[in-house]
Amino acid sequence: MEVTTQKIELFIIENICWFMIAFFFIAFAVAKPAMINPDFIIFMIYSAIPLGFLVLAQTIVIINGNLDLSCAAITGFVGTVAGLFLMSNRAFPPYLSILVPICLGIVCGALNGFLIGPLGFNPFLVTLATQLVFLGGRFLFYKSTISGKDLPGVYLLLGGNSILAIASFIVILLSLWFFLNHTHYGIHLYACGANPDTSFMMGISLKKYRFFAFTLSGLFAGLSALYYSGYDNAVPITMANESLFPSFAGAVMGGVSLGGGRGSVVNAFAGTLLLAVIEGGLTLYGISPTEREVAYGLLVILAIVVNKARESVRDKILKPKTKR
Amino acid sequence: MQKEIPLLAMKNIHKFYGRVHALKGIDFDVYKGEVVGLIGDNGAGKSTLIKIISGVVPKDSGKIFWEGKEVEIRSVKDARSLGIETVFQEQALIEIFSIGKNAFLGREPLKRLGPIKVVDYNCINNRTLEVLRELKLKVLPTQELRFCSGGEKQGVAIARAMLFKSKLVILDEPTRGLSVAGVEQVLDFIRKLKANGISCIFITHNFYHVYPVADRIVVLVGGVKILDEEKSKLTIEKLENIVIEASRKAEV
Repeated sequence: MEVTTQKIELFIIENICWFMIAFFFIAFAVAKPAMINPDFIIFMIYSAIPLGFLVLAQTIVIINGNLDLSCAAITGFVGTVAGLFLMSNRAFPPYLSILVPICLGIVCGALNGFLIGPLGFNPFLVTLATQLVFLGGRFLFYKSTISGKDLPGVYLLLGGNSILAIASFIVILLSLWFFLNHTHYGIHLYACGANPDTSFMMGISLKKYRFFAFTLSGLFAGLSALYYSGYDNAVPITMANESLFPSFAGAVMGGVSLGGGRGSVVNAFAGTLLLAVIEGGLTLYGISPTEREVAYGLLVILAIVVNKARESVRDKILKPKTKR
Repeated sequence: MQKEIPLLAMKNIHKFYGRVHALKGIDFDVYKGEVVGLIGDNGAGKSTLIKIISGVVPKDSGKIFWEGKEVEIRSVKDARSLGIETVFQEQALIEIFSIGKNAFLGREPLKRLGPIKVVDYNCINNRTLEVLRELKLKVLPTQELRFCSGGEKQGVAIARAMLFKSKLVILDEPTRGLSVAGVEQVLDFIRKLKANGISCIFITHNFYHVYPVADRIVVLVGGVKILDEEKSKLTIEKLENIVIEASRKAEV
């Protein structure tokens, strides 16, 4: 088969982020063998899961050709409101409790989606505004941390157990990937981001798909709130406060194009894992959280450079060799 | 040919853009299997006319008949359900999508997978390949569109019409910006459509491109139809004179 080497090259170049994870992991592990401890590896992946949902929320919207400044604020808002609701309604069926943040997330996302889709407002301004509403809004409901003791055990189970969290995340991630790549909803969601004018001319409703993308993104922000609650065994008052920047960083490092229409949710999670590996490594080196910020900034710049190079290499591989 | 019922008949069509009277009472017919060359300068109203047919903009007054029955075309979907496929000037293609995905964009074939319906990529690629071969294009359906030449891109857009058994294909400036070989390729596509019994409206301001394939030629100037003639009764010199004369008058 003559195309085999080409396919291998393409596979490597399209999934470069996974190789970068391996590279950084090995680089850290050489000096600090503590990295190789299986418990530490599982913990590193586990700690990336709540943010992972937020990166997916951002990625869905970016693929659709928009951006969401409010997704992290939605997570915090939903975490607080859902926590407060469950704390004050002890009779609420525990097994349904996990649906509360999901539904709240959908409602918040739909609000963004309605303003940006059917009403056609600018996504930057709308999500900037709703970010402030959600950031401040949670304090209108509750002003301090909600302890895990006041929440149903089932509610904290998914996010609280590392194996369960990782396994359920993988199932959800693969379902989302399948949905986006193998249903016509997914293809149209990509199409709107790749070329809105063309999509409109081909009868794909931009209003509908923008609404839909933001609503789906809200669902994932809600899931993030659920997993953060389990991970922290509480709803801290600062939940997801500093997750907006990493939600973009994860997506960009995973090779999702900010121009829209291009990128894979699976690779966006690879971007999140890369962040987690770097964070884990820097922690072992005893570098303080504020100093780590510098590393993250540099990492995003590195990601931009790598993506540029990746695009041009990919073009070279894909370009038909024989000129007709 | 004139005695049969036209596939598309437009009567006394008017369109205003604010104060601009873009179409001033146009009558326009297309018969089955006919290639109509629609010629006019920029701003002559030809793009507006085809946008009305393809459902992109609404007409302000006048009537449209499809196979003898009066119809309202309110959206691209309406036009498509009648069997009208438009190859827009901007080509309506997505550069970073594969050729197959482009050909089926907005109308992806589905298959059942358990309880859900998923897009049938095999069907997309196989059927696109068939049509590409029929159009003598040597590209693969899985290739990204941006690696295609200008002529091949027009071919992909025209492939849509053949895939969905359209009755009328509107080509808006399909030869603009193409090489000589690309123009020849597009003219071949049009002959192929005609051989399949599909009517075409070929919009251009270059009558040298449309003359070899057209059955009938319509000329618009300043929103008015000034010529509607069988090609057999026109020489290219006569056509040239009419167009130049009319545009000179329009400028004065």
